[in-house]
Formats: sequence, C-alpha cells, structure tokens
Amino acid sequence: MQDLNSFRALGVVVALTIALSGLHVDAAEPPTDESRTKAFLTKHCLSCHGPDTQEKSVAFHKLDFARLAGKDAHLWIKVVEQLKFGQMPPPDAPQPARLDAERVASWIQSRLVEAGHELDVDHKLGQPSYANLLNHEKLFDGSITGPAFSPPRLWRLHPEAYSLFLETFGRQLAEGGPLSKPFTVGDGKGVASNYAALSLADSATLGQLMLNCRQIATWQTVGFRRLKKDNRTKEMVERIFINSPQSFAEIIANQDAPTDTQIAAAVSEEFELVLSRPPSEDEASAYGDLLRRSIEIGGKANGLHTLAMAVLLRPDAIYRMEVGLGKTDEHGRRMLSPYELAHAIAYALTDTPPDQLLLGPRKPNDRSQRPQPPSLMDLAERGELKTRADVQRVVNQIWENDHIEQPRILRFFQEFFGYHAAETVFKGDRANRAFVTKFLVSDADQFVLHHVARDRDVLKELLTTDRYFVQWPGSRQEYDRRIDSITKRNNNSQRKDVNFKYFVERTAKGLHPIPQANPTWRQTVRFYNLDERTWDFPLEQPFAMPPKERVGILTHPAWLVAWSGNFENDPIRRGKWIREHLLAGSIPEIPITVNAQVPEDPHKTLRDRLQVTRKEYCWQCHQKMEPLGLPFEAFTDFGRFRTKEGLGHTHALGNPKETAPVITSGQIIKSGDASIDGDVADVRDLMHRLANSPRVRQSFVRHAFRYWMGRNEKLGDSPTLIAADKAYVDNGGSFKSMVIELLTSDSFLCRK
Amino acid sequence: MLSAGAAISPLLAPFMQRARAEADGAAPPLRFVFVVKSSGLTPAELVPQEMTDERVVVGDATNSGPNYQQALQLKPTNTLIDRPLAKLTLHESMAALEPFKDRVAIVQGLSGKMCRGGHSSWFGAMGCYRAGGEHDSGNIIGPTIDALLAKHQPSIFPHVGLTTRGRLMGGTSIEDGVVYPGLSAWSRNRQVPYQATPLTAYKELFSVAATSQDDLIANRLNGTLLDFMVGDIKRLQSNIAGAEKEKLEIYLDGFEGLRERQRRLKGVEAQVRRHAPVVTDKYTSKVETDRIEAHFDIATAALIAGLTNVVTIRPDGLGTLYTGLAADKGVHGLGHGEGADPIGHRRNIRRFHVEQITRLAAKLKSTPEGRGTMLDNTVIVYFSDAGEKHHASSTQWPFVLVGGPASKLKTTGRYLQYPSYQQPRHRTIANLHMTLAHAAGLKFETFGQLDLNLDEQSQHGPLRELV
Repeated sequence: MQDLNSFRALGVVVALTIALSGLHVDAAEPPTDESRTKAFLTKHCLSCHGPDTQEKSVAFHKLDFARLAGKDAHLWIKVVEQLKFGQMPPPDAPQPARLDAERVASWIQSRLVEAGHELDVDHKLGQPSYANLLNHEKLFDGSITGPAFSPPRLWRLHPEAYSLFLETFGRQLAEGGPLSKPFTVGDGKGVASNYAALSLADSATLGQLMLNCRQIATWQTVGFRRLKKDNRTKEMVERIFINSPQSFAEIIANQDAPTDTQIAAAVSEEFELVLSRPPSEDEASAYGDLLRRSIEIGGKANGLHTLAMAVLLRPDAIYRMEVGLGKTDEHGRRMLSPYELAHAIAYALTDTPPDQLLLGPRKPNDRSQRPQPPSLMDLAERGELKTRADVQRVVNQIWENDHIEQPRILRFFQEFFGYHAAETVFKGDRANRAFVTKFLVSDADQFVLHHVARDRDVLKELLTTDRYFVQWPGSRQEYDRRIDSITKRNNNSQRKDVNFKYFVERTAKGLHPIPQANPTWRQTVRFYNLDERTWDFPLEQPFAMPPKERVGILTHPAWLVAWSGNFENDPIRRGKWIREHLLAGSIPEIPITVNAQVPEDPHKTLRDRLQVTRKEYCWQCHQKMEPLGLPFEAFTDFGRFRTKEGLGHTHALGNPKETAPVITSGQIIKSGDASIDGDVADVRDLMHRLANSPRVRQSFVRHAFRYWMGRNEKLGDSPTLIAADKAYVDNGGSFKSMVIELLTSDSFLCRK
Repeated sequence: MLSAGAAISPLLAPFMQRARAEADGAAPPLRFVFVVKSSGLTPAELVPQEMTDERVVVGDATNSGPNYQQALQLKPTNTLIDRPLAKLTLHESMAALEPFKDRVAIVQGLSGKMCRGGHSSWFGAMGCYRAGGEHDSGNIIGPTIDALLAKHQPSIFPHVGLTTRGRLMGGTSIEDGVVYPGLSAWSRNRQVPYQATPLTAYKELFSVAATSQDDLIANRLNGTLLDFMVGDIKRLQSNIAGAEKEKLEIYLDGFEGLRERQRRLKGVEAQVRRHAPVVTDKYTSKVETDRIEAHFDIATAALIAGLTNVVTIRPDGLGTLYTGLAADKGVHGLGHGEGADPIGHRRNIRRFHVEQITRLAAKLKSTPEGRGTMLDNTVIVYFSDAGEKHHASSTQWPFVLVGGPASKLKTTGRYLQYPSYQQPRHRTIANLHMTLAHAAGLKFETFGQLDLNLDEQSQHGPLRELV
C-alpha cells in the first residue's frame, strides 16, 4: 500500500460516462445510507474534488453509486482508506463528526465487499507498519472526544514472562531435561514486538509447549529418576526429583479410590498453581470428570498426569484474557475486572506474574509466619484494585519501588530506539576484538535508565545530552571493589603483566583505571573516541564526552552501529528511523521495480554516491530519509566521531590512503512541524531542532501508546494520547507521568 | 480415511494433496536424511584411494593441543575437479559404500565462512549464518535447511530429530529425553527438538503399533486429553468474539492437528505395524554405538512406513566417548590429537557412521517405490557441523551425498572438488543447501547470510554441476 495522502496512483481524472442525478439530497425522504453518503461527500469533499477543482485528479461530482463496486471500485477503496485513517478531509478543513465518517466508510466498504472486492484497510489499521498513516494532526487537535477503549483480547505471554512462569514450579524441574522456549516475539519489530494481535500460539508452538507441560506433569506426579553422585559415599545412587501438589500426593498415597472431595481439591490446587485462580463451577465439574475418567483408564498417577497436562495446556495459561469482566458504562464499555487488572498491570511493567509481584521489599527464604507484603493479586482479591484511582496508586507504588524489577520500561526504550540490535549487525573481519557491542549496548541502557530515574525532560535529554556512561560499574563502591579485586590478582612477580602496568602504575600516577580486567575489552572505549591508554576514568557518571562530538542517543555508538550496514553507514535507514519514530511520518514501501542499491565507487564518499536518489522519481520518497540521515556521516559505521571519510576498498578502510572531508549538513523536509523544517548545519543542529518540536514529543507518545496498549492507536484514542502528552509536559517532561496516564486511560482500562 | 466433503483441517490438507497426487501417479516426495557428525569431516580422508597422490599432501602433524593439526591435508585446486567414482576405490573408511558408489557424490571445497568456525557452527551449519559461541548455540537467526524441507513436504511427523545427546561438550556421554542440540530451527528463535532416547522416539513414532499394556494406556490417555482439550477450548471460544476467536482457533487447530495425527496414524496402522522396528536391547543400551544403530533403525522404519520425509540424525557430540569402538578418548580429545591413535579412532568413528548410512541406503534400495526404489527418492547427506576439522576454519566443508533421483540430483558416482576459497567458481555450503532445496522443488536463489568476502553472485542458486 502506498501513500494514502495522495490519489496520484489513479493517474488521471476518473472519466465518467454515466451522468449521475447529482449529489442532491431530498430532505423530504428519510435518509438512507446512500443519501447520507451523498450528503457527506457534498459537504466535505466537493470543494476540492468537485466540478471546480479536482485535486490530485480526483472528482466526485459525477460519480455514480451504481458503479461503486464496479468500474470505480479502485477509487472507492481509496476513499474508504482515507476516511478510516483520518487522512481526509485534511486537518485544516471543517471536520465531519467521526461517527458520520465511520458510517459512510463502512457503508462504502460493505458495498465493495458484497461485490467481492478485497479490502485490507482494517488489517492495515492493526498493522504496526501502517500505524503512522493515522492522521497525526487529528489525533492531537482535540476534535475527537472518544470514547476510547481497546477491543477484548487474548494476549499471549511474553517469552520472558513464560520463563518466569516455568520457574514458579521449582528449580529442579530442569532435572527432567531442558525446557523448551515455545514462544517467539510476534512478527512486529520494535515497539510492536508484543502486539496482542500479532503473537499467536500455533501448532508448532503447541508441540513445544506440550513437551514442557509433560515435563511439569511428570514432576508433579511420578517425578524424575536420576543417577546422582552421593556426596558422602561418592557412589552413584538413584534419586527421585518430584514436587507433587499436596492434594496429588494425598490421592496417590491413599489405597482407596479418591473421594469427590479429593478430586475437587486436586482440580482446585492445580488451577491455583497454574492460573492463580480457583476453577469456576463448570470447570471444577469438567476437570473433575476428566480426572475420574483418566484414573479409570490409567490409574492414579497417570490420571493426575492427564489432569495436570489439561490445566497447563488451557489457553488461559498461555493467553492472558482481557475480555473486560468489570462494570459496563453508558458507552457500552466494560472495565477490566480486578483479576484482569492485576495481570494487566503486572505485565505492563514487569515479567512477573501478579501473584508473585509483591508490593514491598521481598524477604527471600523467609519461612517465618511474619506477614509478607501483599501481592498484586492479593490487592485484587481484597477489593483494592477496582477503580482508576486504585490503578494509579498501585502503578505509582510499583514504579517507585526499587525492589521490583521492571524490565518492561527499559525494553520500551530498547525497542523504540532499536540500539540493542547493535550485536546483530555483522561487520565481518572489519571488526577487531575490541568491538564488543554488548558493552556499547549496556552503556546505552545505563544512559536511558539514568534519565528514566531522573524523570526530567526525558526525551529531550535523551536526544541532546552529551553526557554518557562508559563501562560504569553502577556506583563508586562497586568501582572500588572491582579495582581492589583486580589489583589483588596482580602481584609484584607479574611486573611485566599488562594488567599490572595498567592498574598499578596508573594508580601510582593518580589516574583512575577502567574497572575492566580484560585489556582488549578496555579498548572498547575507543568507539567513543576515548583512548584507554591515557583516559582518566571518571568516577562520576554520566560525564561529558569529548566536546562537540556527541549529542544524544542517536550519536551513541550503540545506536549508530545498530543502524548501520555491514560495510558503511546507512543514512537511508537512519533517516527512515527518524521519519517514522520521531516525526510520526511514513514512507511507502519500496516499489518492486526499483533495484535499491547504492553504487560502489571507492573514490567517492557515501554522500556522493547517494546522489542517485536525487532523480525526481526516487526523490519523492527519498527526500524524507537521507536528508535526516546524512548528518550522521560525522561518525563511522562503528560509531566513532570523524572529520574525514576514508576512501578506497572497503576492506582497507582501517588505514585509508585517500580521504575526503566529512560534510555533515542535512535537511528537514515536510516534517509536519513547519517550525523545524529547513537546512540543518550538522547533527547537533538536527537533534536540537527535533528535541524542541512538539510533533517529535507526540510521536514518542504515540509509540509509547503502542508499546503499552499492544496495538495501533485509533482515532478514538485521541483523548488518551492528548492526556498522556499533557501529563508529560505538565510534569516537566516526566516519562513516569506519561506512562501512568496511559495505564489509567480508558484505552487501557476499558474493553468494548 | 476422511469422507469427501468433510471439513478438512488446514493441517490435513497437505496429506490429502499428497494422497491425491500419489493416486494420480505423481512422483513420491523427495526425502532427506541429514547425518551431522561433530568434530569435522576430514577432507583428505574422503579422497578415493587412486587419487591420494594427486589430492592429498602428507605434512607433519603438530602436537596435540589447541592448535593440533592432522598430517593429511587436501590439496587446494584452482579449477573444478569432477571425476567418476566408477573406476576408483573409496577411502577405506568409506568402504562400506562401495556397492552404492554409483549413487554417491563426494563434494569437496565448498566454504562456509558466513558461519562461525571452531567447535561448531551450530544452526549455521544448516542455516548458513553466524550464530552461537564456543559453548552455546546462541540466537537462532533463521530456519535451517532440514526444517525448510520438512515444511515444504509435510508428513505426519514433519521432522524427526534423533541424537544421543543435547549438549555439545561436557555432561554424560549419553543423555536422555527431549534435547536441543542447536542444529535445526523452524524459524527465527524457534528450535527443533531432538529425541535422545531411542525408546521414546520409537514410542512417539510407532505408538499405534504398540502392544504393551502401558503403551495402550498411554495412547488412550493421550486421546482422552486431546478430546478434552478440543472440547474445553470450544467452550471457551463461545465466550469470545471477533478477531480473538481466531487466535483460539489457531490454538485449537494445534490440538486438532495432534488428534488428526493420531487418527491418521490409525489409518496407516497396518503399514506402521509392518515396518515398525523390533525393539531390542540397543534401544535402552548405555553404549553409544548401540543407540546410534537404534536411531538409524528408527529413521529407516519411519521413512519406509511413510511417517516422515525428513530426518536429522546427530550421532554424537564432542562429549561422546565411543566405548563401542574402544576409543580411549572422547570425540573432543581425539579432535585435539590426544590418546594413543587419535587419527585411527577418528577413522573408526567415520567408518561406523558410513556403515550405518550404508545400512539405511541398502534398506531403502530393497524397498520398491514407483518405478524404482525408495533410495531413488531419498537423499542422505553426511557432513559435520564443524566443517572440515575439529576447530573448523570453514574454508572447506566436505559433504557426502548418497541416493536421490538422478534426474534432479546428479549424485551418480562422482568426486567433485570445487576451486578453493576466493578462487573463481568457488561455491559455498549455501549453494549446496539450495541444490537440495531445488531438487525438492523449493527454488530459492539465496539462503542465509552472505560471506561478505566472496562475490555475491557466486553465492546465488544451486550447484550447477549437481542439478
């Protein structure tokens, strides 16, 4: 699908042969869908696409509805898309009521579908790659008042959350063999990796899932027999590894057939263990019946094994169900129930199941009767997790609690910026052993987390600051501890040892060494244009990088590497990233007729070679990319700052014979925010301009929305987006306020 | 089986197609057996005896240890060597294949430097990409060729993976249960499991032929569970509307697929019973050669019974100690030149593998199919996940191909040696994998990652000499 902004694909004025009775509405008759559509087109479309003007060669005044699904179908399909994505009428024109527009679009769509046309507009509305086509101005101009809601949905467990779920059965479960990882992240990339609609459990997943479930069921019934060395006698003896639920053990130990009470207890206990809830009456009866039948067929252990498998394989053990089991409001929306809320909140910020997410300091191995802090599930059961205010209070409590790991927050930034993909960019022999991308990524992680904790002008800081973390161990104490442990390993007999020289001699000179015992890994700081041989490791981090080199995370080596090619920089993809992530813009897919290749010429800079895209046909799309990406030519594809670009064969670039001065200028073209459009001198100019644009901030909010809602925004979500943006601004650029606003919004809490 | 007009689950569709195709007299599917040894397949010891002087250099073996190098090296070539095997004598370790040598292709000189070298290329060996480290299989970048072929020609069990252990190094010589040797993948980050216990593999594949009381109970319980799950999910489904219903449907399809598998197995019960291998002591033996033999028996029977079209056998890992061959050191140690006669033991291990492959080929050749035998429709691919030696450089990566349809794959008794790395007409393992895929009708032109130090065009498409 190409640019929805234009009808140019249609090429010519739609030639019309059959005269239409005109788009007049007869007031006397009750409105039909057809008359309503005519009226809508007359009011909102004809001034630009009518008898007087035919913008983009499109006109409606002569259209005949009889040909809607026939000869004119291709045009009407575009109309449906334009209306559903809010692209038309343009934001500066008078706006129709949203319901009217939807009604008209739906009617046209249904006529088209009836006639056998395939429309993928609804599919596109849900796809991450089309999310930015939804009109940005309309989302933020306040003209849409909701009501916002999400559809009821099944949300498959995230792979990390599934691993934690397995851990709840006990560490020795692995004695039964390695557990498989049945889930992969969805087809979406970046913030869409956890889109509810894109992550499925198909038959291949089921195969792997069954292996794990079988292992758990065995662990709960007969256990694993393994030969282990006895610590005392040093002989191999058989040990049984088993962890039966109490009710299972009772049934197996008892000589008699299990009683109804025992059956009910087994079903109930397994439900609690796996789903953290008791079975409903129907479930209790169905699963009790299954257990009885299975015991009849295969005896007690086999029967319980079958029961355990059945509960473990339930869809709700794999899919979190968000149907909206709470109260229904006047718009027909249902609030999430306390049980649903507990899950939704737990998995919004952490990978931990809600019954294990304790809202207070964890007391490990506490076997005493002292009360543990309540879990999220406890709150739900006590009735303390019902209202919007409850959600706000609890989210705030979790966010502020340092004892609760909240990996989902960092993961948002990783997936938004994509810098964590640095390790996947293959540089072949060009990379030396000092090019350790995991350090670059972990430096970037610290950088992000620092600003999340600081919570002031978060996005602006991330985009503009020149203060980085480099191999920072986390605290001054940890630094001292590491240096101490490394120096103790060096004694005087190792005077020639490279580490002895580095640590002991440098400390004697009053310089602080890098707390890294591996000399090659110390060289990783070179990708920041620092020299480990002379650099005095700063004991307060973040610290200012060498002047006039770095500006924000987009100039961080991790980001630059992640968005680079095998051999060189990638201004096209970098520009595309900025267009899509910071400017809420979109770029059509590459036409299949285009063989996209940057010509090779060892005597020209990449900027020069990219001149090929300046041809008019290419430039209509490429103007949205390279001009944003070219300022990053100030860095190598390994993320080092440079003022000269090496020329020659790519393999010899380490020590080039020929160089050319780097040109770092660029342009912001058609960003959607006229105040930032124009030439930019260098990457600093670019980043500062972007960081000050409300559109960039709003684009960030849209991406956060997608990440936490697990879906694309719709026009109806406008109030949620505006409120989140406002919360961010009103609280001095507070990321936390923005996320809490999202998590307490109708979009998050209501289902319809 | 299914009556005409009955709603056919999408999972069943391929079977139905195949059944129809066979009824129409179309060609049977092309089957594949990958035999992936560890610790490298030595190129110099695949050279036919008469060619030794011409193709093998005898140098000095360096001391055992990390840089250990065997004395026998394959001579590089700048031009393609293509010799008929008919008048040559196979290397002594491959002697078992002599009667089949008109169905053999020895392919030398391919490189695989898009993969990591060293102890294992992990998924890269069959996926052609860089993944993993010295001790772990790492991220899975994409599908491997065996899984792609399995998907392309689905069967009741799309892929059968058999091995003696999951871990590459360390641990006990033999492991049990479902393991993940890090070789095969359906797709990005989705690994294909292997069965390490012959008895369990037997039960999974040939359960319909089971006769013991325990097995019958297990079958009945499995049926009860699947029926229950299908009912349970349908109940749940009625409470949910719209797009979400579809997700449950997909999950439900999974269970129905398993149920269909059971049902379909019932349908071929007689066939399975006829071809099911006899369970012997080998199936539970603690001796690795016994287990490997059992795995080959299972693979043979599964192919003949029509249960699968793709099998990958991973006979050993670096931690395997071949007690059955009286080796004094484990595979890892032998690869480092330790022990009394490391080269001799490595040769014995290869001979053992080749004997198993020959047994499989012989059984297939004695099973008529269409106008020929099953061997005409089955390709056995013998190679190592560590290229040409224990610490692979991957500039060479030898393969031995046995069987297959002569019309699609010219494994007609040939010794092929491609020009060395970075020479004109040099080709990679990706070209070889694409050759197999093309033979099966899966015509992709690029596979995996490119070796950035080679001309891109040379890495496209199959090996012309073999198709």
